[in-house]
Amino acid sequence: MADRTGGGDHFQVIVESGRFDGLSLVDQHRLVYDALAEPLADGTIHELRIKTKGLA
Amino acid sequence: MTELRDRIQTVVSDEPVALFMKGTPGFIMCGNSDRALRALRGAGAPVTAVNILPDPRIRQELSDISGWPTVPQVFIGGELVGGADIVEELAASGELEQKLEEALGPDYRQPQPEERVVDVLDV
Repeated sequence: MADRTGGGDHFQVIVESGRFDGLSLVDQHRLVYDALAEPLADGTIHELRIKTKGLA
Repeated sequence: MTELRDRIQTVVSDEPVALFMKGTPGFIMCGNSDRALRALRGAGAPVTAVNILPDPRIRQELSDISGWPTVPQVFIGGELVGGADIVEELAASGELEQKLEEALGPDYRQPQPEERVVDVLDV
């Protein structure tokens, strides 16, 4: 997890998980969005860049 | 409200490549919308753009339809492909062109790809 602008609300996450195996990128990113639903909804995270990777 | 939703759904379903963005291709209001548009242009996609900024309900209805929380959102052949990160990743790997070919046919590339802007508030 990296704070891209130093302002505390533009983040980049790189997530590697076996849960991504066999999923489309859309579904992989959905899992990340779901995990961060609250801070995304209340504006704590203004912008999020996502990079996902399966283990397979 | 439902009329707006129907118009958004129609763009998603009927346009070969739909980009919901902040601003328009001629006046881009967000770096991520710019990234998505550049990736699509690089792949020679005919883009139909919808500016979500004129009314917050557009963004709300769009996310209800797609289940995707952020903008931009790219749809090819009615299917959500993703946001800027995914479209860039697919463009880099060549999969974006592959998806475009599957949805639009092998001859989808135009010398000067068409770009249209659709206003979902006023049809």
